[in-house]
This record gives sequence, structure tokens and C-alpha cells, in this order.
Amino acid sequence: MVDRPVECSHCKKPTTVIYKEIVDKSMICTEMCSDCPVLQSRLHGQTPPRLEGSNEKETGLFCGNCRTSMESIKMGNPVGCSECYSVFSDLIISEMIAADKVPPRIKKEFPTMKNQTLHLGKSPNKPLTIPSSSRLTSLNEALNEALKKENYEQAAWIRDQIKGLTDDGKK
Amino acid sequence: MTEKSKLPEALLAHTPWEKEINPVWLATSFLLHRNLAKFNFPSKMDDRQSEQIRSTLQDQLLKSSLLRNPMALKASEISTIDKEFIYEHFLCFENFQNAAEGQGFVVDESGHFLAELNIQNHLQVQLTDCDGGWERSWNTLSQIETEIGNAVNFAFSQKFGYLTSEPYLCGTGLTVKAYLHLPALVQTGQLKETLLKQKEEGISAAGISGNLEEIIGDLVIISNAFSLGINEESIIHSVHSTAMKLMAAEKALRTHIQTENIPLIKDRVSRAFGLLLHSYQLQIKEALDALSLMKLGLHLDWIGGITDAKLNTLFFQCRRAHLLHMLAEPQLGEPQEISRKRAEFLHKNMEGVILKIEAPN
Repeated sequence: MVDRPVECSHCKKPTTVIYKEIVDKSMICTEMCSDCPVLQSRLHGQTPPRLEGSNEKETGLFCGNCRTSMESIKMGNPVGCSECYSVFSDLIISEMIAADKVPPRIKKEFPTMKNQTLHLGKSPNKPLTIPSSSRLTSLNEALNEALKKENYEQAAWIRDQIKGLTDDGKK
Repeated sequence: MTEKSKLPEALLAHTPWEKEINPVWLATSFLLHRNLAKFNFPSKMDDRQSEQIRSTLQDQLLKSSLLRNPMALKASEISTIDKEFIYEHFLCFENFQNAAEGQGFVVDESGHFLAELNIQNHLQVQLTDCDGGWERSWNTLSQIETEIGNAVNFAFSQKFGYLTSEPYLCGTGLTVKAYLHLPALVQTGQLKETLLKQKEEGISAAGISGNLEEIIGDLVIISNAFSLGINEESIIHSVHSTAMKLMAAEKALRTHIQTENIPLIKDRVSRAFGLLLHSYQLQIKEALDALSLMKLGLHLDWIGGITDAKLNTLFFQCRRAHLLHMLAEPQLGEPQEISRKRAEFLHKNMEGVILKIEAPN
């Protein structure tokens, strides 16, 4: 079997599609799940990476859309397109975990949450405003922490800042 | 041959932090990174696609009612010095010197807004707050992003959020940077220890060069290290909470330095004064470090005859591109010549500044 995308072996979804493509005298057979991004790129008429060029020397997993390779992502090069996030999903998360670029929650739960939503926050076309009270929340937290650490000088200064803000609000 | 700058006059005349709002927490920048759906990201685009995206995004930004007289700049049509001016003005970590065809910028008259087109991502919009009204700035930037998002589809997935060229920027695609002037912590060697104690989880610190090992002008930039798995409000909250604690630590240490009259700091402020007034050549790091000590000296009442706002202005104006623009010489000269011009410029602007520290008997 050739060109099987990593996603399917990792996402543990049953293989539902067997895709065969005949170019000249060679046939490429790919088994994948129905959500597979590689299937999407095949259906949209893109040539499988291995058939491009007669002297193809590159091996390993490539993004079917922009030809970014797994090696390139591992080397810390930029991601080439949206599809890369599907093709290299697990690799991207692993690299981010290794570089300490995700919250501890994702680090801890990653092996069991491979297909879950990691994003928290705004979705397209939904404006997000921050209430003016958020500054007071930050200050109060900083004050509690300073008091916990018995850093009274710092606490006094933060208390002055809170007072300044609440006095401004009353005016 | 001299080439006239294509940057708007209002931007050339503006220097950030020119108001004396807060001597420690100088500014906060909000940056949103976005790519358009169904297009390859900048590193994999051909020239035709780059031009198409640049033009589409530029048109949307120029229509925005939230920007003050926005102006588009094609990277291929502005000079190296103009690109460097933008880099200096917005304290960017990345250099734009190689930006060319298909890439560009949009700025406005406020001097606080910058959109980078096809540089790292298709779009990076940035708004800087220097007045302490950071909620307002964030809300404005969010509205600008929504306006553009109504006209184009951003690359987004339920799992990874907004998709970016650098995976650590995916998720909210938001970077918040708080610019803190921490000379007391840096000069007494307490910065790293304080950062360890005060830094919240997911927060990173760097100098203006992008590296914490090389602090220039005692300026420390606190920002979120990632934006996936955390929402916008939490990112803003963590950055601000850390900045607040560092600001409190800096203030406490300044009070300690003043009451204890620490000779090491007095000596450094005195030497910085001499350097700014009497050097024949001044390199940028020397100049920014010395100006930083002037700011500290002013706060401790060891320096007089100048304001904090003026020192903030000089902090920008003595950088290469700003200096050349001011001297109406928009072309790069020999490094030694620029160092000489910088020294001369600072001598003139430091006239009337007095050192209140008495020489030891």
C-alpha cells in the first residue's frame, strides 16, 4: 500500500474509502477515512505527490496541496497552507508540546484528545470585546497574590491602582 | 542619490510614547495573525496569488471607518530606510528589508496602526495603545478584524482555530505585547529572578531584539508564548497581570535605590550622562542604554532639565531610520558616519540637561 496518510492510522477511524488512481501504467491505491484531507485533495484533481516529476527523490509525508513535507515542519519551517494542519495535525501538536507552546491542559490530555477541539476563543465574524472590568479583575488577582507572598509594598501599590480605577469610575 | 520617503507625514512626525502616561509600562500592542481560506500561506504562494491577496486585503483596510486616513504602501515601492522606519516605529521583531513584490503595509495617521500584508501571514494587524486605554485598543482592533472578516474568509478550523504560518500562533492568532521599562531590575541584575517569580504560565519575555539575553535600553517585552487552547480574554489577562506585577517590583526597587543611594546605579547614571553629552560617536545600543539610565535618573531626581516624554521621543529618534528621516537624509551611510550623526543629534537634544549627582570628594 502506498501513500497512506498518517491521519488515518492515528485517528483510529475505520478505513472507509479505497481510492485508486491510474496514471500511465502505474496504479496508486490509497486507503483512508472519509474525512481524510488527502482524499479531498485527490477528489479536487491534484496529482499524487509521488507521480510528479520523473526523478522524484523525496520521500515521507507531504501535504497534497502545497507540497510542504513532514521533514520541513519538523525543522520548524512555516506551515504552507490550511491543509497542512489536517495532514500534519499530530506532528504539529507534538512539536508545539515539545517547544512548550501549548497550555499544560493540552500537554496532559493530548494523547486522549487527538480529535477534539483545541481552540478556545473567537470564531470568524464574531467580534469580541473585553469589558472594562477586566482590568480590575487583573489587579485584584495581582493584589491577592502579593498578599499571599506577604509582599506588602507591592500590595499597597496595587491597592492604590485599584483605588484610582474605582475613583475614576465614580466620577 | 537621495530618495524622498513615501511614508505619510503624520507617521514620520509621530513618535510612540510621546505622552508621559506611565514611566514603566510604556505601551501595549495587540497583534492578530490571519490567513485567507483556500489560498496557500505566504511561503508557498506564487507572485500572482500574492498580488491578488495583497490587493484584496489592502482594499478592505483602506475602506475601514475605524482607521484615520489609512494609507497603503507596496513593499516593492518603498525604500529600505522606509521599511526600517516601520520596523523601528512599531518595535517589530522581524525585519522587513527583504519584503518585496506582493508584500506590503497599511498604516494610518494615528501612528499606532500597522497591517503587514503577506509578510509572515497574509494579514497581521497591529494596534498599539500608549495611553493606558488598552481595552479600547483591543476592542477597536477586534472590530477591524471583524470588518475584514465580513469581506473575506479567514482560514479557520474547529480544532486549531485561526490557521497561521507559524503553528504557535494558531488558535486565537492573538499576540499581546506589554512594553515595560525596567532599568532598576535590569541594572541590579534582578530581572531574571523577578521574572521567574512573577511571570504567569504561558508568558514569555524578550528584549526589543527579540532575545532576553540581549536587553537593549532596559526595555522588556512581555507577551503570550502561545495562543492555542486559551481564549483572548485569558491571554490579555495573563499578560497584563504579569506586567502589573513587574511594574510593582520595578517601582519598589526604584524606591529602594533612591533611599539607599546605591553607588553602582549612581555611577551608571553619571556615566550615561557623560556618554550622551560628550561622545564623538554613539552606537545604537550605547545610546539606548544611556537614554534608559537618563530616564531612571530623572525618576530618582538625579537628572533634571528634561522630561520623560522627551527622553521617550529620543529613544525612537536616535534609531537609524528615524535619525536619517529627521536629518532629511533618507539613504544609508557608513555605520561610523551614522554613529557620529547620532552623537551630534543627542548632544543638541541634551542641551540643558543637568546631573544632580555630586562628584565624590
